[in-house]
Amino acid sequence: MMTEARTAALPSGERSPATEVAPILEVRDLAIDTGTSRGPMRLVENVNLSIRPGERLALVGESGSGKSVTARAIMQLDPSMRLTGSVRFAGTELLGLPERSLRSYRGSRLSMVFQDPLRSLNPTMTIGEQVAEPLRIRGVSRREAWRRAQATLDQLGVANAGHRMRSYPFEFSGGMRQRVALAIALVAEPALLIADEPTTALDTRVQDRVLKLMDTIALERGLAVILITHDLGVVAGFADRVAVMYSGRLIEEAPVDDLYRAPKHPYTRGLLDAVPRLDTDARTLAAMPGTPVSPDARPPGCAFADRCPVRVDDCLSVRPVLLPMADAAHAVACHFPIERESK
Amino acid sequence: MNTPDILTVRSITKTFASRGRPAAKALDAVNLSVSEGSIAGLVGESGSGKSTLIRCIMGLERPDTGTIIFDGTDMSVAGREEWRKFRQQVQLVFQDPFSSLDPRMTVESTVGEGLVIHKKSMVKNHRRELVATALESVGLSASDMNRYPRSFSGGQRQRIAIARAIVMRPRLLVCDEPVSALDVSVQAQVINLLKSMQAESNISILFIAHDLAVVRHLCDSVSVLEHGKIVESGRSTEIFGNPQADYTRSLIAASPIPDPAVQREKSRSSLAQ
Repeated sequence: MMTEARTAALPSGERSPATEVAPILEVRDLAIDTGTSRGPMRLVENVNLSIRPGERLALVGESGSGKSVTARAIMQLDPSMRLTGSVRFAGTELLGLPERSLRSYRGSRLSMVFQDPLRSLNPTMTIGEQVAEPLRIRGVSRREAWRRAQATLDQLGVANAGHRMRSYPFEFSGGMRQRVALAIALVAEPALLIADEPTTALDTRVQDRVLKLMDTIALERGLAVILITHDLGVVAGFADRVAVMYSGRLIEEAPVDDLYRAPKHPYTRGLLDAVPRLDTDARTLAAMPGTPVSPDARPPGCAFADRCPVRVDDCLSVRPVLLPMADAAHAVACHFPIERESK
Repeated sequence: MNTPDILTVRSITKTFASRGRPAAKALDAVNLSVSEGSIAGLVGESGSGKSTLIRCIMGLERPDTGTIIFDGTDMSVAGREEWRKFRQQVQLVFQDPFSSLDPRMTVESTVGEGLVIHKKSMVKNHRRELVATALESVGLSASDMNRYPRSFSGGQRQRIAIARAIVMRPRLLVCDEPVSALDVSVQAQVINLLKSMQAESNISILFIAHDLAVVRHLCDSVSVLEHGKIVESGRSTEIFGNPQADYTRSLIAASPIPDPAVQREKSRSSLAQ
């Protein structure tokens, strides 16, 4: 009850994380390259992100935009990816850190949940063992780890947690499995949670419940969350700030209300116009023509140029940089950002 | 009575027996109808019986009781010839355009396959023409015929799947979550395509989806399936404007709206309850 009252008093978007607090995560000029049969390929470039304690940042984009690769790069989960730039977490540079030191961050201070809870859980271990594992690795006693695992599962609304910790993942429904995956990510009380499409595989009502739980726990713990998703409805209800990715680059970043009310990038505008809304009657959806360009076929200029309604010739050759607008919180990478609409 | 039904599902029940446990009722006296030229939506969460219902409609599963009537014919007593007609006139589009197309078949043979099977006497050139027309009507080009699925994006593959269905000139298109695997901008293209096909060719569509916003946007009528039972059905505007069943209300309440102000208002009122 207590937690609900707090959520009610401070709905997301109205919380104002203190701007003077140092960011928990700062990504500077991150580029991600991978080797392919046709030579090296730059998947992501020039990504700058920062997130403060307690803040929720949504990383939005369509498939192939580089949002998941970026998240995995922050965790350095793919050894085959070559990373350049800087990823500072709580003041420490993570890029170039030896694997052994990285492990003291991953899963404890910095953790991640994935889309598919069935694949991210171990089918041969009980739920309890898996939730307790991040603590056991860090030397917490068996009894204490088990107790904290149970408390975390309780907090995530897994009924009868003490008993169900002896069950195996196959005995759980999709929504329950995702709660378990969240419990594993949260049990060691991380400062930052990266959630990669955590509710995409879930039914609508289960998604709603899981998002509310994440909301409550993040509020209670002052947890920073990076939410990676393609679902603009989910973003609207959860995030404080939104960064939009297109073809491996950030193209717009803004506080959530500004982004939905007055998007500056034609792509962001196009995305918002393409989503059907349940609270309005049918209208013709403005479908963007074409499909996103793959990273190896990016033109020297703007990657969105071939689909853009306001393109001029220069857009194909001169690359727009992500620049802050007059309102410094809002940044866009476009030569012709949309003027504020008069409504 | 205004328009006649192209498809009527009348009181279908289907149970699955499993050893040592009581038989599970996947469908319980389900009624559903698609009136000619309309888009009917079927909404349900996983485990609601959606897939079983589709399998029963397509004749892949025999219901325990109840009947399926297509264009006036009771399919439970239909003979060979009537089933042949049914298989031509009812076409299915699947959710995942990555696994529903054979990677070793060109677009031409994928889209033309139904014609080869059902119109054996058709000469190759005539078939090519029909395939080209079908591709153009879904926004692809006749020059795509010799390409393979791998060289197309997800949205384009779903167009190929739709072209494969409409080349048969079906009267009913059954679409099982046809846009849920697609990106937002591509999803809108496919939704608009289905809508314009309905407007131009009087095709009827049964559209199965879990995304209520898509259903509200596309469908003239909607039925809501929960645990094998239809809990509510009617015109889209009525169901979404004034839902009666608690289940429908909870689905609507849980569906996120892409508008931060609306979402804040929703979470406030849900906590106040």
